Amino acid sequence: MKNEFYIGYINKLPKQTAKTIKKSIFVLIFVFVASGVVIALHHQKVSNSKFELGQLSTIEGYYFNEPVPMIKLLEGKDIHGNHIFKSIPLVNYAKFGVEELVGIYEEENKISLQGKKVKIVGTYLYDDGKALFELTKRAESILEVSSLNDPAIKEMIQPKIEKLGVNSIKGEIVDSKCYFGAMRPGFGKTHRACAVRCISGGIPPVLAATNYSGEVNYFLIRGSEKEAINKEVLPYVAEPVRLTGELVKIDDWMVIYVNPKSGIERVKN
Amino acid sequence: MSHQYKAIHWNPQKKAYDLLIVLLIISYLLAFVGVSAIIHPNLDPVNLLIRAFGSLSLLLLHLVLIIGPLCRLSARFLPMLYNRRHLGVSTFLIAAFHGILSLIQFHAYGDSNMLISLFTANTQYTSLAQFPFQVLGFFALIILFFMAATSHDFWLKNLGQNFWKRLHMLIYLVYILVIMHVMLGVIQLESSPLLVIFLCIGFSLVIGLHLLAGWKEVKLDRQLQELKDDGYLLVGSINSWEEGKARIVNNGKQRIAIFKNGNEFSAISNRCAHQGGPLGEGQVIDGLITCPWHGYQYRTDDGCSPPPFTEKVSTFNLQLLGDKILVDPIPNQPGTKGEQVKL
Repeated sequence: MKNEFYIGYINKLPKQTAKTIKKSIFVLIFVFVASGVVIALHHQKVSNSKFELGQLSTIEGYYFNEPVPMIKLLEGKDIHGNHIFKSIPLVNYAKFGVEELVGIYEEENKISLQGKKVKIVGTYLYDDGKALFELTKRAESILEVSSLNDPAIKEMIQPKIEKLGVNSIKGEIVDSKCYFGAMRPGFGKTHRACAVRCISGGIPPVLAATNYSGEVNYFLIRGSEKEAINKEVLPYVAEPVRLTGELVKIDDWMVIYVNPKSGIERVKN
Repeated sequence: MSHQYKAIHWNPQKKAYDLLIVLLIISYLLAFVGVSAIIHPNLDPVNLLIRAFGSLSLLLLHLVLIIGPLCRLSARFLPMLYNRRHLGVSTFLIAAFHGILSLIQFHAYGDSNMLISLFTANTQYTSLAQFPFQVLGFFALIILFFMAATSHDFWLKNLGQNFWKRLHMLIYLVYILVIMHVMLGVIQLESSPLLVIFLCIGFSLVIGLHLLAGWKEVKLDRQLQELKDDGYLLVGSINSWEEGKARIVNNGKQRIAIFKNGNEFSAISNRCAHQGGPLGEGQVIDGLITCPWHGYQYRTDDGCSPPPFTEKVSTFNLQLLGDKILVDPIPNQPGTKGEQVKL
């Protein structure tokens, strides 16, 4: 080593330096590959949520504005012969809700979609027993709208509402589109900015609350006057919060009606 | 050394160096993406790439940071320093992929401009736990961009060595920002302590090597500063030099490299005019003092690079007292002849 001296533009590595560099290269390759493998092995478990990107589905059901724009699909009958419905909230393409889109459609076509039978095309998102439907082609996703003339059907599709009183629930406010499939994972601090953009754009906010047995329950969040409070919940998105408000079960969704000024508080994890 | 502008002066060493960078990047990406795709098939592909590029840029940043002190501790690592700027630019590019993908994935296609959203989506600037960590990564990336964009010698020459050096020392600010970006971001999502352990190992390595290298130099400076005599600094006996090498003294303001070249002793500034490399750790090659970092060369008598090169460093006057070499701590103008000792 005494007389060794490395000069980059002289194209020969001194002997001892070459040995050190060779060993260093092996160490570096090992460190890079091992780091890649070990870090990849320790990602937090990703949910089984699904976004059927590129796979358009056409569905037919009954449209309701409340508690959030959703389509009610008839899934069959239970053992007692009662109709089973599945309520599927609708979301727009990208980070937007459908309220504006539906409003424009109704104005242009001089028709209200509320309680109508609609045929729409779009993309399914689903996870943990819940499903959402993206109107991937925006306004063109609404293919057909037809009125219901049969009073029996009108009666049959009316939402089943069960009031459960005032409750306080601890959880995390997430944007329903990402959480239920558009992003995997679609929760937590790393996803906060995206959730804020989605909720700000009209995607229905949902409180994801994990109970002591690890089971997650979902609550659509609306204002105490049943209004959308997307802008009001933005400062609390992706943080541990406690929501206090009237709890109502509407068909297969739980809804919590919250006064945004007094019903949302930050809590410690 | 160069006297003409050229994007990259390719040579086999640089090609080998770049090949290694590509090999490391591909190895990591294959390992990370491959294992993630098998273990977590439902992970969003864009999120997967964001994680892959983010963790890779963090790894590369550590490598960039440990090369400097490693070379100060052992000259055998100098080939890793020779083309480090390509490693730095690669780190920026990988970090840029991470940043751009994150910006699009989390902030685009919404009701706000992406960059405005970056700063306003999370406004918990007063909370440590909820601090908007993406902003920290953004500023780190901006600094890395300026460093990568000015890494060419063209900018070194035009910005001046002092400014250029200060700009590139911002890598330490980048490191702090990146560590905070990770600690306040992904670490809070993951339940496994592994990432924290990795980060601690990397941080300890960077800090530990810098402290070791710094301690080595401080020790040398302290030891030699005690040897002052009548305004001149006593360097040592003429028999204490290795042929073609230097002994280094510190005059309180800068280090001076006193070289032995055959029967001739000469002193120049220890700071290379190129990137400030330690000339005293170099050698006399073909009669020219050669910097260990990138091979810049200077004549022993006047500190000038041989034509057509134009770099200059300060010289210092030497005296012989018995068998002892003494050096005047006051520098001569860069490029002027200093008094040498010829035996």
